[in-house]
Amino acid sequence: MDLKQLINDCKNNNRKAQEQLYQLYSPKLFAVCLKYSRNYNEAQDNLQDGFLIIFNKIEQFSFKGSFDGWLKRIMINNVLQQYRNQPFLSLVNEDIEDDYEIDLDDENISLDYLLKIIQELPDRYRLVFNLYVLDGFSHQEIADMLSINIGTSKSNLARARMILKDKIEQQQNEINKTFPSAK
Amino acid sequence: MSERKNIDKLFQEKFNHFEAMPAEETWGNIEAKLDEKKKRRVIPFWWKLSGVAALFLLGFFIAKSVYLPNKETENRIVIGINSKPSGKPTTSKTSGNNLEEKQTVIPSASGVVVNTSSTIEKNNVINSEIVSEQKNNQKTITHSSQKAVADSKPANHRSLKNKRNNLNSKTLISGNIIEKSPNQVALNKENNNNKTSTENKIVQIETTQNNTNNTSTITDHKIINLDDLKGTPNLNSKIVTTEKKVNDTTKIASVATNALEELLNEKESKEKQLPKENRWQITSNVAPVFFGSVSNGSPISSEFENNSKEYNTSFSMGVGVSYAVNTKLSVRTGINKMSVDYNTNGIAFFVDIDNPGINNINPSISGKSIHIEDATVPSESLLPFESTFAQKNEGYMNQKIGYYEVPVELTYALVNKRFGIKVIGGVSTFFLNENKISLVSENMSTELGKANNLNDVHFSTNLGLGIKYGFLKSFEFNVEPTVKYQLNTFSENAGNFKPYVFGIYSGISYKF
Repeated sequence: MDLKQLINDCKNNNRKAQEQLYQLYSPKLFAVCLKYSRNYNEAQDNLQDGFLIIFNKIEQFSFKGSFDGWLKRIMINNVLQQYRNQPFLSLVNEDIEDDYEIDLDDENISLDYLLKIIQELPDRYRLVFNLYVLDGFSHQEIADMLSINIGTSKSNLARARMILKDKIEQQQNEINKTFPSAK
Repeated sequence: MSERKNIDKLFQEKFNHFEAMPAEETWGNIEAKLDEKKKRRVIPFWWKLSGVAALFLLGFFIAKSVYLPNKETENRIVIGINSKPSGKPTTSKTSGNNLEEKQTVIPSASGVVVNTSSTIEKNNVINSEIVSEQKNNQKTITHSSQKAVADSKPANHRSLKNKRNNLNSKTLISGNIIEKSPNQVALNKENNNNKTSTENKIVQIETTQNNTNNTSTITDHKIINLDDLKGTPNLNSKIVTTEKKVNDTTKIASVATNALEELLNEKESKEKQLPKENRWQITSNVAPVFFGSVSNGSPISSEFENNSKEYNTSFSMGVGVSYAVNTKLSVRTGINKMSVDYNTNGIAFFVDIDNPGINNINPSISGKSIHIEDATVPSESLLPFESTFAQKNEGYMNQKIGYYEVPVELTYALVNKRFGIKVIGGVSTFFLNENKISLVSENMSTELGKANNLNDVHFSTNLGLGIKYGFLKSFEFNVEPTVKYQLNTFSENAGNFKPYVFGIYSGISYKF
């Protein structure tokens, strides 16, 4: 299938092409949404909004640079838009989706769990952690994107790491308690 | 430090290839929102641009007939055909199927090559352009295309040339295929072949038609050409630039495409300039005015409700000024003088000493003693002895009402060029300045008095359609049939009389 053709069709508002594009990229972009959002439902909403923006702006895509990167940037910007201006929330877990399982894979930690604890991070911590660790932005870039200063970005990242580390350790301990033989 | 690194690494490794399927209904939601947006956007978009689009189309056809001599159509065909095969989803693999396909293309392509020497020249230029991109077959193609030039000059040996051109057009097509992004491999090859051959047939037919100089085919070619322009912008621009390199014949084609752009630019700039320049307009108008009532009442007395009415045509004249808010919309006002009158038929009148009068008439001195009644209804007010000597006159009663009218109207241009159509809507304020009721019979006419139930000021709602035609530089001739429905002509006792005025306002206006 020709990506260029598909993009051009999308530019012409061809509904079939749009659907195809969605099917092609939604798994990747939904992953982005999941990482950056507070929970599954918000990730769904953000994905939806993001795709609407993508179809609106696809006309501006001029085939310079990778399309994947372009999509991802739009999606990240969209999500940042959602949470950037949210009042800074303290560590309160408002996530109702309680669907994680303790999965004993090779590292004893499941992706679901990691995703869950990322989502549980306060908005700013989560955004900074994602941008820096998972998507490779520099502190300078993050500071620009979130309209904060570099120091804030760095300290947010440190706090995010601490929280995540604590949670992972806690979980490890629980597993060890439940299954003492595992370790 | 090592801890921190581990955490980063742990997450990075875990999330490296992280993908997740969103809920199935998500696409449905997105689609619904896209539809919603589309619907919301389409309507204003059309309103705004339909005028421009119509003009553009018009200009397009005019430009086409002006700029397109016969020669040029041939050039266009070359473009069409060259871009045609390239626009098709085909593969660059040399499979058996593809070979077949190429051969089917050959006759049509070479058929065009034969057309005139000028087209051949250009064809070759295009070829060489493609060739330069296609590294593998470079030599063979340049060689063969040169051959084509040499061969095509004597236009008689078509069949011979066709064979020789075989190689040339083959490589030409494969060159095009390479140029086109070849990702639609997944498509069924056989289908492709079928499609190509049929399309080629179409092209062939068109070219033969063109050979007979059938002008009607010009439009067909153009449409095809346009489609190609849109569909494969990259390829097209490449061809256009190569055309520019060649002098005479090819210039025409590029000029033609540029002419379209220029036309568009011109239009756009005109759109922008227009409001700056000629926002104000003064108008004079004269109109025959047809007065009427939507119901058969009488404002003079309910007694005459059933009498037939005869509405006279009168005149309105005035001046106005309008200001264009934008190219479509303008506001205007002015002042008109208008008088209307109508007759109430079947009136009997006679001198009556003890005249009760009519409520809605303030009688003049001479009118005071005139008794008026419906001729068809026998009078009860007359004493028996009176009827013997009273001379009954029969005639009609005429009511004349004159106004100064101040309209405030909005006009919206549906077509706004030299010839224009607009819709007019607004309100008018009427100031009463003439009010007379008189009696007319065969041999006499008497002023009866004034109606006392006419408002000094009343309003109307106006709706009209304007047609204009521009002449000289800033003059326009206007014809505007307009209906003005009177809202509160009468203060009371309108007697079920609901007047309207229909005027065909025509005049000349000057823009400045």
